[in-house]
Amino acid sequence: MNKRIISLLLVIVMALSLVACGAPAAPAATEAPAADNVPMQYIKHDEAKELLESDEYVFFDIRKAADSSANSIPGAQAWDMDAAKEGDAEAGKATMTEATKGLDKKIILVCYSGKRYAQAATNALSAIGYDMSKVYTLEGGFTNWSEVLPELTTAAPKADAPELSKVRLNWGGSGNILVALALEKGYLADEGIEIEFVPATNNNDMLTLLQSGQVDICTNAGTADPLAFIAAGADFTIFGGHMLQGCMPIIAKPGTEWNGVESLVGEKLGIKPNYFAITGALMEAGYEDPLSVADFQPLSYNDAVAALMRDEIKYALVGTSQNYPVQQLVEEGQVEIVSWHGDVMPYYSCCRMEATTEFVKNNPNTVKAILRALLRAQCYFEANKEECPPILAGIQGVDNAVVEAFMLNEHYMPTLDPLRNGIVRAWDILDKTGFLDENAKTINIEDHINTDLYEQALAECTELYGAEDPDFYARALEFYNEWNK
Amino acid sequence: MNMIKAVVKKYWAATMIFVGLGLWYYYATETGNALSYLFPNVSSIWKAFQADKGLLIPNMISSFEIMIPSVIIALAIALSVGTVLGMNKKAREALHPVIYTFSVVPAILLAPFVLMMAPTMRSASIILIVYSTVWATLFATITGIQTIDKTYLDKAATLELKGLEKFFKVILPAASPTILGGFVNALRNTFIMLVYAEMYGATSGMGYYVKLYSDFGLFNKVWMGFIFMVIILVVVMTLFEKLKTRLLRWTIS
Repeated sequence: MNKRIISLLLVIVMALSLVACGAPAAPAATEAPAADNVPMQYIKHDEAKELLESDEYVFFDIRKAADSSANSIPGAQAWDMDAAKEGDAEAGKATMTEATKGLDKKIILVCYSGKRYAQAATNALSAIGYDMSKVYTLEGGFTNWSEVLPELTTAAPKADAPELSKVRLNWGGSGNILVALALEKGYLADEGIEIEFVPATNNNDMLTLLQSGQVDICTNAGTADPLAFIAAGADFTIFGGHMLQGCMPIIAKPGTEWNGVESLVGEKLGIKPNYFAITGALMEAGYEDPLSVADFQPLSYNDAVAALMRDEIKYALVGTSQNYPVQQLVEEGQVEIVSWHGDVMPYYSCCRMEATTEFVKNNPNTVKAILRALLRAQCYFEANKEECPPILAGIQGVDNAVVEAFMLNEHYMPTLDPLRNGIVRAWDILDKTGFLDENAKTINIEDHINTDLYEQALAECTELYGAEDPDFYARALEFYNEWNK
Repeated sequence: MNMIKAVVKKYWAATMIFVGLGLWYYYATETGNALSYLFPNVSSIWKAFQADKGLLIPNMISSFEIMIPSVIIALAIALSVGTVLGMNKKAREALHPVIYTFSVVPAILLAPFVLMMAPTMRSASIILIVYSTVWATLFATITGIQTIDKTYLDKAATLELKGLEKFFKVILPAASPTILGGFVNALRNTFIMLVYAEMYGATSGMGYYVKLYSDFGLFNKVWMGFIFMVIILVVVMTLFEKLKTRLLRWTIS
């Protein structure tokens, strides 16, 4: 009697296993059709995974839309067949008609376990006349796939996923239009990166915070100061840029003669002596010791304007942020712009982007993700410059006109390129003019520049977004090759 | 009415000085005798006030959030260390060189070092303000205790006052005119240091506002922030003077 009961139970279990969607499917065999169901032909996961990159096959994820969007097979197209599975054959046919429009490929159907959804889709495909010899069902469905091949799912952590989701960044007192745009346009969010801003406005303070680990990345500390920190032993790595050139006017009283950088010789200047673009330009003009041929006064920009008006100095160099009040002085006829910092030494390298070497080494994907987001921002900026001033003005709490005064000027060049050759040039000038620690002689500055991550980010961006603005990415690559090789 | 009369009588000279300075500024800027970059005209400063008046009170609160704990910490350090050194000649002589050495280091030069060593940026700002304000009160406390009239101490001995009772009932009150004089100087320094302390770790504050717009060369806003800061300083100092008068009501003046 007991044997009979056990046998009966076994028969019931086997029968149930044939109709239940969650039951293991017959391996690579044609499913026996129930009533008017079209027979399904199965494909195993290990065969299917070899076809992921194939142009002859296409994967249809026919589970509920919410599930396929949460996790699926990479490259699979999502076609929700829930209504068809519930018996709405017309809805199923409509979905499959849409899915196969112009399609002449072999289809691999992916449902939960290779049963009811797949059957509904198979029936629909047959009903609309698709060549059924080209339709396969993934055996065990996505449930089995995600257990056996978790690395081949869209929810799987990617090898190049950013190591950090939140990065602490300092952008000084004047902000960074590339970061602001990347936030505004959602480019950083696309990369899964959130920015926490750490406030500090003085270059030394910014770099001290970087060195002490209270900030991850600085974008506005100039070039001379990070190099001075490196020379003094700070282990920083420069991996990108912010401003290739700032919009910095050289001003003088109206009518003052200007014949290029040589006009500075013998004069008293409101220019800090570690402004390597000026001293470097003098060196290029043949003055080996530029600090001895002109009187460089280490004045703040505001102090320099006041000193110029009092005729204490002949030329003053003014910061990017001060263009608006300087324009007013020019309009009033009180001063004249005789040249620009970027004209004295083109692409002099205004602000670099740096982190500790440890941070860059430990978080290369995070750095790359940020670089990709900022490259897209630079692309947007170059194509839509006129739209950008209000974004930074809003962040800074200043009038639009204040930001427009520098941002729409041709001398202002936000550029993400790390500019290796420019950094090496600045390092040499600063060393020769005595602004680097003695220790600098033992340092190879190239060990503190990482251009690989930028190069990779540029290549990835070109592949992903290059079609949006091919000229921009071509220009960026050409510039990279010129300034980093 | 009598009160208004009394206020007018008391402050008419100060008011005239401020009005005179204001008129002089107005004249100099309207006639083009002052550099517009640094000395914007009055209407430009007024425009800045109209645009940013909503920021003034939040800035003040933000600054007070740093200043109040800083002042309390500075006062606690100054009073405790000052009392020990004021009452103990040996300790005073031994530690005077150390105190003098540290007191001459300008707090603004310490900023990067403090930033490097302080656990948070907020604590760095507080340390900087404490450092710049503690010395005036500390030296005043030492001097105040050192110069207590001997008759007070004799009377305390006659009354057999000892320990904390002697300290709170005789020594502290007797030294308080000098200590409070030092503390007034310390309060003024607190406002000066705000501009530096709010250069990092802050996204608002009276000092932050002035520094930010100075970096943009927008001196109409700088002047507005500066005038507001001065008004707050005057209000705080006036309140403190009233407190001081109350605390020292037993003295002759």
